[in-house]
Amino acid sequence: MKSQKYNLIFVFVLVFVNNVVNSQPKLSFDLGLGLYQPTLEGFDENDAFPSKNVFNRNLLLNYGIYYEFFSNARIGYNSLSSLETGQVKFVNFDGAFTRNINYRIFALETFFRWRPRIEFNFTLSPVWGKGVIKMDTEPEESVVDWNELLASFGNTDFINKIGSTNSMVKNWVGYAGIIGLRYYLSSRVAVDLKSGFLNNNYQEKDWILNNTKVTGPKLKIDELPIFTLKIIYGLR
Amino acid sequence: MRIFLSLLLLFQFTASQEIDNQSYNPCEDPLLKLARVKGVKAVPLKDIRKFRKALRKCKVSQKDGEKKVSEIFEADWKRDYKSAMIFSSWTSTYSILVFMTLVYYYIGMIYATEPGDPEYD
Repeated sequence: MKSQKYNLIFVFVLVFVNNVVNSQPKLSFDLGLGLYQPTLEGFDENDAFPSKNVFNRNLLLNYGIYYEFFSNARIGYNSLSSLETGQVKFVNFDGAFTRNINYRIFALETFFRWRPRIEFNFTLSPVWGKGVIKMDTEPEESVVDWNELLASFGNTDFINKIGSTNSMVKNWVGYAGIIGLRYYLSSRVAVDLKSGFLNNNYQEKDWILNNTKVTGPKLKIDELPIFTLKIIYGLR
Repeated sequence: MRIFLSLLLLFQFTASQEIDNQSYNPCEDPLLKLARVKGVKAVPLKDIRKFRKALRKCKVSQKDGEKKVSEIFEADWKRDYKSAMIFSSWTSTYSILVFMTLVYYYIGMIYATEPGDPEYD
């Protein structure tokens, strides 16, 4: 009886190890660029912000990681980021400014190979959007506080100016529908062209700045057509 | 003692350098075997350089090496193609759903009207 039990354990371990060794987790990493056309009214209608161009309005940096969990299906994470940096110039103040809009796609993708090198893929996924606006400011109290600290260390030369960076943040949800065409250059490397839409449920209210709810910029980022071009590398 | 040490050194340089070249066949490298049986993607990333080296050696040193190497890659293409050429289980329904959503979205973009459009006047 005891030997039977050990035999069963042995068989179970053997099957488990065999599964781990034989199964091929198909993990892939991708990097590319996206193109879209939002209307960022809150920034466009105010001359204080850096002027708009293709790089800070239409271009998206794109990276992602996918895992093939089922034949003809992958799950993954895909990030599309729109970044803007520059100087803001208000009447009494100017400072460094950064605006980042990040569309994080939690993708469920199905695919089939039409030809040995050509694949069609289909993605319908929830989107977690996040907007972050950062700006350098010069709070006056900070100068006094820092000088007190410096004095406690024995400094005699004090500062009369200091900057600090604060950010306001907003999260929202949305969904994306995307169809892609992938061409395999080798069994590991592929080029992927995708087209679809990005629908964001964004409201300018309820941005968070220093634990306070504030009104943010008007952005028209619902029902956005989107295109991406990526290089895929199969890690395993 | 001096003679003994000299002999030891002599043997180090003569006997230890002998490599059995004839028994090594680069086309039978374990990494190439793995790629042949389970596919190129089964080769671990850390062994990719060794794998490429073995491929090169197999191509150059063996008479039918080039053919053997191309067979590995062709088999890999076929394996991937066979496994993904037909939708399995729920994936076809899901794909149709995505396709229909996109068609609906684009038709909406072209034909949908909003308050303020000429149709409302």
